[in-house]
Amino acid sequence: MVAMANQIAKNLDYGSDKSKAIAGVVDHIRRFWSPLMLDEIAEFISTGEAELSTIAEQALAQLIEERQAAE
Amino acid sequence: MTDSYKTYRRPHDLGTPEVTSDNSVTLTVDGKEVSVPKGTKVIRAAALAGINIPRLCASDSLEPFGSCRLCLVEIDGAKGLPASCTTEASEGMKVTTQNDRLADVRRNVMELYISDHPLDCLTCPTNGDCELQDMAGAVGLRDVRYGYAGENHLEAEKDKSNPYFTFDPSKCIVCSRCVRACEEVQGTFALTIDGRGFESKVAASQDQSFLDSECVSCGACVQACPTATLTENSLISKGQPEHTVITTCAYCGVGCSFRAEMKGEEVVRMIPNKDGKANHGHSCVKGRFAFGYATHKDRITKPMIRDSIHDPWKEVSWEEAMEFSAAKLKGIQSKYGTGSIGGITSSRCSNEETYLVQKLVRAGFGNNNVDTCARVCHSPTGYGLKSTLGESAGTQAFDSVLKSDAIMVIGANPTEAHPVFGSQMKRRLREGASLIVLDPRSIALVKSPHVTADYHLQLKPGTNVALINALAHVVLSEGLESKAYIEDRCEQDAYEDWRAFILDEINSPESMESVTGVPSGDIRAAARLFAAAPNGAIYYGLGVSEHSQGSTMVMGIANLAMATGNLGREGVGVNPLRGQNNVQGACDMGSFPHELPGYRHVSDEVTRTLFEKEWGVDLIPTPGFRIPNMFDAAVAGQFKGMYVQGEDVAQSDPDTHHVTAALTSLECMIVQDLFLNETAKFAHVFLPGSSFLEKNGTFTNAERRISPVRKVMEPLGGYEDWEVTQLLANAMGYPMDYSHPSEIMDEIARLTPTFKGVSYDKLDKLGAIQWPCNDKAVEGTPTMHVDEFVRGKGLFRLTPYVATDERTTRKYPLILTTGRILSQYNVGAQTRRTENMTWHDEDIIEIHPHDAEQRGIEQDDWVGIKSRAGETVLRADVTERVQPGVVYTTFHHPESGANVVTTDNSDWATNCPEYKVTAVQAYKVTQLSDWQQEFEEFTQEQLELLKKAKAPAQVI
Repeated sequence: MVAMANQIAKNLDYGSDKSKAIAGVVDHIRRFWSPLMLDEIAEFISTGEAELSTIAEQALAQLIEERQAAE
Repeated sequence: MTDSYKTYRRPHDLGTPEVTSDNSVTLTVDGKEVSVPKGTKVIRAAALAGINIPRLCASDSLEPFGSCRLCLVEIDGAKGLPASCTTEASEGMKVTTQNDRLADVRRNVMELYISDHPLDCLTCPTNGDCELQDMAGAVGLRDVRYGYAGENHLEAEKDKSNPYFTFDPSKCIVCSRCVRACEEVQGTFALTIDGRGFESKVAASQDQSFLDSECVSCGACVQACPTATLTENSLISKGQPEHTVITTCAYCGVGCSFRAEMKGEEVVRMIPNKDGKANHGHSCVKGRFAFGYATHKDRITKPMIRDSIHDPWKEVSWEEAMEFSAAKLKGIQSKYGTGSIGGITSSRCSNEETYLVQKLVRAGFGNNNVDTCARVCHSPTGYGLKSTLGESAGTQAFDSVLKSDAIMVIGANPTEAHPVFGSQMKRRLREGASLIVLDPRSIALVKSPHVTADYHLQLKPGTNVALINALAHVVLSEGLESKAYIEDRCEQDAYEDWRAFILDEINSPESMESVTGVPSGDIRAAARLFAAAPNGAIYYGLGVSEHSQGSTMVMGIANLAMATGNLGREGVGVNPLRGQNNVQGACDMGSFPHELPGYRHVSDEVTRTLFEKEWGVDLIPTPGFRIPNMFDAAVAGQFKGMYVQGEDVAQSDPDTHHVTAALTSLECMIVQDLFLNETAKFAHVFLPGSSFLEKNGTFTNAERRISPVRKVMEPLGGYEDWEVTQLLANAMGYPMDYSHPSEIMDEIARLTPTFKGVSYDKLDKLGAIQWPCNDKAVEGTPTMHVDEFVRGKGLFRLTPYVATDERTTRKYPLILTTGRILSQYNVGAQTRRTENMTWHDEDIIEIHPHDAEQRGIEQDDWVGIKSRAGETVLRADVTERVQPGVVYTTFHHPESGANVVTTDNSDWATNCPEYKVTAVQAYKVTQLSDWQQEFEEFTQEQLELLKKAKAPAQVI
């Protein structure tokens, strides 16, 4: 899943506008990932072993926060 | 349902093909006035006036030939007796088709034919359906004055080499219909007339047997033959059919319409339907001949259950199977949670059946864990076309290609995988359209009889996006774009962003040459050719989608089409060639975990409310698991139950070791299929499926054409597939009460705007319907995005090339790419149980002579193929079809283990596996791989466990 998130970030990271790339990753994961996957990657991120790109990391942080707030 | 398509009769033949013209001419035939388009031949004009002129060599599916001399007529003011099949009707022409003079001439002609023809009509297989016999009757032949003792061909030897038809040259009248069908309809040019005068005879290739020749066994020659010279073996053994049912082929995304010619519940033969809009009376070896799997001895027709995959199967009643299944699934959900089970819909099943499975999952299982095999083939098409054009479907009808001036084929092999459309495309190419092929392999289209690609851009696997960007760079940098079209039809801000991106030097052909391996000059020339064509069309296949940038490439294709103004009319478009018969339909029907039917996201409250009201449940607003996510979750112990209808994920999905680990970790796997397929060997419940011959429903082909599937025999297991899903839903406590699939389609139409106008009554009336079918397009939509795109303005999306992580290394220096072959279909579960095995009884590995020599590999040697995922062994075909550094195989046979080697790499947007790029090493070996040996042992174990299910019955 970490690899998937990094891959999404890599494909949506063009141009100099990083916030746009992060928004793209957030939107993509929101539209296509099961929330259960988000829970699982959140757990893995909390172990500190997830080697995420900056954009993937920031996008996931936003999504995880949203998910936790919703619960 | 009416009986209009159930009566048996030979379709009326008008003698010559239809002509279209803005001008018409009026003539008189036997005193009857008739107006026809200018250019129409007299024989057709007469037929349109209801007058049938005798003929043998003429057919409305072939260009006129004028050889049989039976269709002679008298024309006022014309000398002699012209052949009506080659004579053009003209204004004021007066034609006489019957009088004593013509009768004498025709009788004399028939006398000559019959003097060299066996008189065995009563024992002839085509007795009752022979045009020669009909003509003998029509001309009143009573005697042959020349006798039968002279020189003749009556002892000519039969050629029975083809498993599906027999060539009996003793019955040949050398009308050339078979030769012309092979040329004009199929485009293979395998047949010829060998010799001259009395020595003339039909010959396959260099006078070889049909099997050894270039014949592709499409059967067009058999269908064209007016005598018993070329006859289906099934007709020879079973005799003439007594009724016909029009239905739709269950192979490939072309979706050919067929007349199933029946004797009771037995199929005598399948004849492609001349009125079929997708195939116009043509077919391939699979559709026409390979239907025997439906009654194969391997069919399992009773439900079976077991607690463990190492237990023997136990045959049970449908009731017990359903109780067992529901108890298991409910038990799993109560233990592991609602989201711990899911389902997979089938692209081989009907729209109604896939709709029902996704409904069961969403409404009955209470989650969105539903996916379909499009995940592993065309999911990037859905993503890419939806985001650029606004709809997840191809833009054209197949017939559109007949108006194309330049055809670009990307990562598709139509003559193998979509053969009937491949023939139509070749026809247009023979008429002069240009051809650009983007493919790592030299597919048949690159060079075949009378077809040669103008440019074959033989790129390195995995570099599609680099190449499409380079093509677009040439279009923009040389000012070849359609400025007015872009301004009028597309979002300007997005276009300007894309333009700036594409014009970056990094995307130039010269910069990308080292990436793609394609000479920049060829890229430039191909781009110019495509951009300059009045109508440029793009056709693509899995060579586009099955990459880590599959979705990006689809968007790149849409960008190129928009930039060159090639969308929204006939002759142009973006055309995904769908793999399985109902991939389009399965996607349309809401099989993806994030979308309800009609490609509407589950988070869309308005849509969700609509379905909640109709289905009587609350629906989850967030996506469920995709197939690879299901497997990952299964391995992680979070996903425990699956209902799989008509798919074989254990064979078709990548990284077999991972798939196997997932399947063995399930507590309840329910497989509904015709056979104990590879996935069923991991199942706890087997529910007998029904073939396309055993059920009613609809399939939707690659051109969005919804075509009827009609039951010609009762289901061997007792239920059609949709009924089985309904039983399971009811057992799960979610009530379903449909009495006919038409009711399911009515529900789909109520809930899905693009299907609003679709009904079984309309399908019976129109034959087939291309969606969208609604108030704006009452009879359907052959061409999409005509005045505007579905999303309004077309959206250019940026498509930066990102190299795949799957790269060659010293350890794995070759790239494996996978594909299809004509005679086999997908996992081969159907075609491996037919005589198609004659052509392809094992998967082989193609390797370039240079790579083979380096490794000491010779033709037919056993070759080990090893990737980071696994290892398998295949026999070698040393060939220049592949380029150095690339090896290629197919996956039609489970023991080949092609997917043991493919990896978990996938498309960034959709998780579609990267089947087309796997870094491997190849080396000569002398025995099967460890996996293959384990596979063999597991298969034997499972077959033994299957035998035990039947053991009590055998004892009795």
